[in-house]
Amino acid sequence: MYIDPHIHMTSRTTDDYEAMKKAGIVAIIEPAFWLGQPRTQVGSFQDYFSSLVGWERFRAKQFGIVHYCTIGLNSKEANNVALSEQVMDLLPLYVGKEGVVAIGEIGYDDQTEAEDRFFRAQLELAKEVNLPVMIHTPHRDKKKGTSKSMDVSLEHGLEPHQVVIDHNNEETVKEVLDRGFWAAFTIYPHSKMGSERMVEVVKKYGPERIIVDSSADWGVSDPLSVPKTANLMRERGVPEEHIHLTCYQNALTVYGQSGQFKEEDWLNRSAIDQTELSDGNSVLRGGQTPVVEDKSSNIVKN
Amino acid sequence: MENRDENSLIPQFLLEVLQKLADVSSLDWLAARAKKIAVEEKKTTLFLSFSQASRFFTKDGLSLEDSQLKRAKALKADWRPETWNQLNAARAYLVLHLPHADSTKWLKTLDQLFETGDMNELESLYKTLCLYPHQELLAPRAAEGLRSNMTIVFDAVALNNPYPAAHLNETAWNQLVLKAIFLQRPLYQIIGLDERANAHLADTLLDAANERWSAHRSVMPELWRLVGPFIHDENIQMIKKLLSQDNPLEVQAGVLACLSSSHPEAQQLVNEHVSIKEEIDRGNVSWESIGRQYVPFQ
Repeated sequence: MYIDPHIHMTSRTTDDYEAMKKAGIVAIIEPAFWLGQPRTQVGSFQDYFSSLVGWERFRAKQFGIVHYCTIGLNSKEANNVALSEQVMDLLPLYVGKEGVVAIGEIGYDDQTEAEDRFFRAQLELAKEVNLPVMIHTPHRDKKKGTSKSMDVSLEHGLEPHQVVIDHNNEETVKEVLDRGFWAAFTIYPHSKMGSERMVEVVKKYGPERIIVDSSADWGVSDPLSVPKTANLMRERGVPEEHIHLTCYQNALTVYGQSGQFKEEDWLNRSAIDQTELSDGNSVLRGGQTPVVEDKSSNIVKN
Repeated sequence: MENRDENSLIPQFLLEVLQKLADVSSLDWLAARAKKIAVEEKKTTLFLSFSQASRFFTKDGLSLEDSQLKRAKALKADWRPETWNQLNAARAYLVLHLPHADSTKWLKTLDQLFETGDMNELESLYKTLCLYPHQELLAPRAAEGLRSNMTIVFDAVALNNPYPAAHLNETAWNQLVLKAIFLQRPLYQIIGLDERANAHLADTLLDAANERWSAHRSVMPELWRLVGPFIHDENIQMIKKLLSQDNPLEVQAGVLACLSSSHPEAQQLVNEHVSIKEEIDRGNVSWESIGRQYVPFQ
């Protein structure tokens, strides 16, 4: 069993859902992020947030994967101040909903004044509603940006155990762990981490507070990053317990603090029944045979 | 005003039902929130507590006693709270406390809840359609719910809900039935199915049946319930074809359809299926029994 605690499913296909299920992913967290180009209207944010708690959740369920999300204003779009102010008014409508496990992904991109303002405002919101925080660290000037994200989190009274610092690399991980924060690693080809480097990090630092995710989205990325990295760890002699912690349990522990992320949700989930859907615009098209999973076997029939 | 009485009695009923099922602390939370919603100018309490109700109430069924069921039907004809869960009831209780004297303002707030609702919140909101004040303003909202691709949302409007039959015009009603068939939903759970049957719908459904037969797909047997009263010289051939199918549920559906027709040939077709007719008379075969046994996609 694996959890991918950071993946943008709205950009992914049903093939991905099927492959993820087969590879052992039982639950996913979809952080609210940008869509590749900036939104210009607050209504676009509203519909996006609604889809994260509505349609995407429903879609995942049909493939036997339990879908959770985080809600937040991402740092890139925070630079449109007038729009961001409206988005901030929208957030309270969503953060209390079922299955919202954190405020995120928030933090810095270019580390501008506007980004800083809305990052801080959302840390306050997280504190108010008692949710963990998922922090996106910048691609550029990463090391300083990562340190600053932690400084500001502490300044606003969050405890390190409530905060996940994501998109770490070999250069940032030590400080994050030393300061008691959760260190997430995105296994994303070319720009972030690769599986092999990840194995070395786990070997060097151990499994405590380390989390593996895919951040698969609309770019060249891999929704099977978590199970693939787990398999590589296994091949390279990383103990099974460490794989369990980094690819499942740690995510469950930190986001479980929300009270919205429980193992029983997928252990007792209802069997997949695609006959629930089948509309012409839905995920099954006319003539396809729906998957009706037999709970007594572990095999998902095609 | 009749509406006013109903509007206070139903929340009271919901609270009484929940009192037997939920914790005291959850009930206290609910009552306090509702009180605040009833007087609050800004809608923050409504929005937050509507979401947070999931932290206090489960999705277990309402498990009503017979006397409670009777009372429910007396409060609102055809209402089926037996198909509700506790969270649905708690959310309905909160929303029914929203001030509604100014209908424009009230609808604007309700729309906001619908527009930002998650999957389960939408289910609760749509199930409550039949209980809101200003019933006449909600037909576009019901039609919108029927456009959803989330089955749970579609079902909340279409199944076990008296609102559509009472308020949708013929076009919207026919859309409901057609989409329910498309989604293979159990038609016997649609309230008012026979009362709202119409020739236009029957024609459309016969087209749909022909389309499926041409594609070598089966036709959902409950579809013929809507066709029966409109059997005529031109379409009786399709009933004959239906009665020649291998699936016993389809043959039963054919006989039931003929029984609701006054066409002489339909009467004759019934006589060719005496054993099924007997089962129908004994109450062993009905539209409901067919709907219950039918497994979609076979």
